[in-house]
Order: sequence, then C-alpha cells, then structure tokens
Amino acid sequence: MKKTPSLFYQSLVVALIAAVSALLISVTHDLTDEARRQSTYSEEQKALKELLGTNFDNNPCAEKILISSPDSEEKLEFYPARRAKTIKSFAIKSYSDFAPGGRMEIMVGFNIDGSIIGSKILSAPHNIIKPAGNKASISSLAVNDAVNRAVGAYKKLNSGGLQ
Amino acid sequence: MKDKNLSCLTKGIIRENPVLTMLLGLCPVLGVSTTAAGSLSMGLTTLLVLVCSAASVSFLKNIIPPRFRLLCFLIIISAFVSTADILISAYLPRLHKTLGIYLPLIVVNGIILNRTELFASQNNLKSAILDALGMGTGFTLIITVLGIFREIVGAGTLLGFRLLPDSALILLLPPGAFFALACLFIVFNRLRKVC
Repeated sequence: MKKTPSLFYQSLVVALIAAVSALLISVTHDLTDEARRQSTYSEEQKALKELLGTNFDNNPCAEKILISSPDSEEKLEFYPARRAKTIKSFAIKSYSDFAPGGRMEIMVGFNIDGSIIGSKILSAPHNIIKPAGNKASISSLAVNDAVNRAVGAYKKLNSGGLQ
Repeated sequence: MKDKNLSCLTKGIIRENPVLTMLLGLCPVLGVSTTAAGSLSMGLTTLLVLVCSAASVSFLKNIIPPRFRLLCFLIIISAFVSTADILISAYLPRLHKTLGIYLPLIVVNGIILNRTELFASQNNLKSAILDALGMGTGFTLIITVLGIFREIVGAGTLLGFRLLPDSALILLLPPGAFFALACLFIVFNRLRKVC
C-alpha cells in the first residue's frame, strides 16, 4: 500500500508551488512596468489631444498636478494646457464608482473660463459598454457623477486662483 | 503510438469539442464573441494558458499532493492567467480593454480545470500538451466562428470592414449570443454525424 506523505510535506509542496507562481507574476510585472506606464501615458496624451486640440505648446502630461476632490480625500489629476506659458485650457482626470461593475475613469476638458469642452472615457468596466462599443450606452449616471466631480474640483481649485 | 498522439491532438477540435459536447467555457463564449478579433484573441489567450497549465501540471503530477491537487491546479492556472493579463495590459492595452473582466475570468474556465484534472494530471508531458493544444484549438474555433457570425449579422461588419448594409443588433446582445450558439449546435450536430 502506498504511504501517504506527511501533512508537512504536502503543505511544503503547496507553498513551493505558490511561491514559484508568485515569483513568475512579480517578475513579469517588473519586466513590463515601463511598457505599461508608456501605454497609460500615450492614452492620456491621445485623450488630451482629442479634448483640448492643439492650441497649446507645453506637455500637459509632464506638468500634471494633483488637486483635491470636492467630495473625498482622493486626489484628481489636473493637466494644464499652456500657450506662451499662459493656461489656455485644461483637463481633469476624474472617476465614478457608480458604474456597474467597478470604477470608470474619465478625462474632462475645460476652457479657461470653466466651460466644459468635452469628456472622454479612459477606462470603464467591461459590462457597462455595449458589445458594439456604442458610447451612448455607457451608464449616464456614472458619466454625470465623474463630470460633476471634475467640475467640483475645478471650482475648489479656482477659488484659490488658477495660475 | 503516432495514432494515439494524433488522436490526443484532434479529438478536442470536433469529436470531443469542449464547448459543444461538454458545454464548458460558455461564459467567455457568450460574453466575448461579439467581434471576430476579440473572440480570436480570447481563444488564443485561453489556448496559451491551457497549454502552459497542462504542461506544468503534467510535469509536477508526481509531487502534487492528491489531497491538495485542486488547490495546486488553481494556483498554477492563476499564475499563468495573471501573467497573460499583465503581458496583454502592457503590450496590447486596447485588446486588454476589449477582453475586460473575461480575461481574469479565464482562471475559472471549466475547460482548463477539466483538462488539468482529468487528463494532464494522469498523462505524460507530451500527451498533456497535445491534448491541451487540441482542446484549446476547439475552443478557439468555436468562439471565433461565433464571433464572425455575430459581427457580420449583428453589426454588418467583419474585422471593422462593412459587409452588409443593414444589421440585426439583437445578435450582439446576450439573447443573440444564445441564438447564435444554438445555430452553431445545429451545424455541429450535422457535422458530427458526417464525421
């Protein structure tokens, strides 16, 4: 009759398999860190170009700052678009947790007077987008919430004066 | 011996197709198959995870404790799915967005657990890899055919190119997925009688 290995040996094997698996994941994560950062950066650049056009001569991504959210401790990203060192327009990266299935991130573009130029969804939980990718099908409650949060953050920031 | 290897490889494509004979992996088949490209990507990712998991389980089968075998299989499968997830998010971000939640959900894909538990853990490395390749190809074939059908009829396009002037949007919605799968079952059952 085959002898059953001890519980210690069995636990050791499970722990070893788990350790090797964790190592594989962490090595892959470290090796792809730069590529992931690049893809996020280029996505932000693309969204900024779509929202703010080309009427700026700086790199808003390089000058982004963190600003207070109107309703939570979480910070939002503020992207100033300058021409001749003066802010002509700007964008705020906001979010909403009202999207069914998780967090939705959105970039909202503003003119310098605070009027909204437009918004672009950066990431959304898969199940709130219709298969055809119809933008109108994104949960309107979540989009409203995210845009309102960006507007609130702008108002809060503007009370201190935009430079 | 050669026939056995060939049988390991081909049985999963039509004769024992995991989706159409065992109804395994239906969640991604119904959820992701709205476009041909998305379906093919999902199929290939699953195929890759299946082959790597089956190879690892077959290689480690003698040291995996029987009492904890399912736990070990799930750890191994999760590791490969997470690795695929990280790689796709870094190098193919658009595809990562398209696959969404269905990519991490490969961990609980019934085909992978079924093949590792029933085949890879009891056979040698070569047979396990061939079986995984065949089953993965069968899964990829079904999800891609379904994706092509739903994209053409539901959106009137194929790989983004317009083919039909009009489309039946219902095919892109969840009820349409079941309808398309039912059509595929009819074709498959006819085909199986011929084969």
